[in-house]
Amino acid sequence: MATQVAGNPRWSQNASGRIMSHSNDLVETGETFKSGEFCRKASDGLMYEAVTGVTSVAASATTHYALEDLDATIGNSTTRKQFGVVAASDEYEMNELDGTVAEVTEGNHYEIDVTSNVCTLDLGNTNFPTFQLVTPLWRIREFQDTSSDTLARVIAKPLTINIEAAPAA
Amino acid sequence: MAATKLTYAQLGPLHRSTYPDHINKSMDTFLARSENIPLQMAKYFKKETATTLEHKLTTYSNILNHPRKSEDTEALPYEVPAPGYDKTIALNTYRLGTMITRTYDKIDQSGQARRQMSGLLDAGRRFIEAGQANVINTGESVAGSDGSNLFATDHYHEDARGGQWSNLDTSGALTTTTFDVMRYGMKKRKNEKGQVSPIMLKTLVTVPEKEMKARQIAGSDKVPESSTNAINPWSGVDVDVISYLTSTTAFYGVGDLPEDMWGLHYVSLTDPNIMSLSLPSADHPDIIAGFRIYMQVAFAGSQIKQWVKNAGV
Repeated sequence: MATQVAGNPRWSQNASGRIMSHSNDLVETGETFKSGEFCRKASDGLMYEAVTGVTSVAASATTHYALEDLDATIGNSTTRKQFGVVAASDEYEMNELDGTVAEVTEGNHYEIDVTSNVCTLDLGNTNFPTFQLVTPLWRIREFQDTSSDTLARVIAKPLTINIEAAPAA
Repeated sequence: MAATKLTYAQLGPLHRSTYPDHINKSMDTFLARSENIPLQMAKYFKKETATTLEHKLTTYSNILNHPRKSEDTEALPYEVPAPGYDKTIALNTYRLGTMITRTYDKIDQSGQARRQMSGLLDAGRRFIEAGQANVINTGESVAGSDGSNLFATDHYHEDARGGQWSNLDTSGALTTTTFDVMRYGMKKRKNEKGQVSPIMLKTLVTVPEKEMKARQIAGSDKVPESSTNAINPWSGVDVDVISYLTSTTAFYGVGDLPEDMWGLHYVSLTDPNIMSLSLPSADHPDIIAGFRIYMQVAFAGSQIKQWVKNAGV
């Protein structure tokens, strides 16, 4: 058994062959995020770091993917940052929050967890799911990932309702 | 000082946003990071060519019992060899790609942007070594062609009348004594008719944690654990230390059987190969180059008569 080290999601593939498209967006003052974190474009037109444990899919949406770090010192609503635009058929390599991942979780819907600028998939949280677990990576990346890994690496894709929900405030 | 964990975005192709240092004109030196992938396992595996994604193998023998007392005038006694166990090995297709954007290729200051795509072949080589080592690493829990685990004490010979054989010694620390037990066990191995068919232990395979002890056994004139100046008769045995093995204590004796009896199979329908992608494409005119690795392979054990394992302590 190995304990994997949590890192931010990594775009892996898109079922329709699409390459992630880009956007340059304004960021809410004080927001911080790291490369590879999911972000949410809110109804005020500004980008926010994705959050977890909120009360609607729209509020926990992950519409964008940070392509560069943003430290608190430069976050303001006049700063544009580069983002990738999350699409429905994108698939991301992600860590599970803290546990192992069994094959029987394939196809199930989960929320993400965002802690200390790291986004992971939380199999313990199905309240307002934003991602569908495609498969644990140990099933397809042999001799590197194993079924006993904790913080196991998985392939997950965003739910359409997540990225197409009307922006929340 | 605080340890720093780098983060990066991966958005498909090699892109300037992932490598800010590479587009930084003030950067003076770009040093390559590469990996060392020693080929340690391949020599123990028999390479076999598959024709479909399901590879079946069996064994045949010419081993017969002893001739019988029989007069010229008696009816001639006849015998045929025992059939062998068979095994079906499922092959999988493995792929991975990498590509680069026009802008990153153009503004990269290192001049090495395209070299960053050269790791596919290394990934394939590492995968093959890891896959082969996995057969040994999991050998006490994965069944072979005879139904026993690959390393087990209860293997039946192909002719079950020949009894059982073992390629798993009682766990014990690597010492001259446990090595000797392994050695003479192999030398007393019986064939499928229950008759002596010795295997000469040629190589002591072990893990890096036990390399020192293994080299003491192989390199000492005197028995390393003895203070009585007893001669070490096993001085000179080959030692092979394999970094891909995951045990911290195990050691293995590898014998001198012919390749068909190794029991370790690297089966390939498509050997690892790198292909240049058809880029740029109409959909992605500014993804200018890319490569993919492709292979259809499997690694498996059938009956590992060639190896004996001691899990060590």
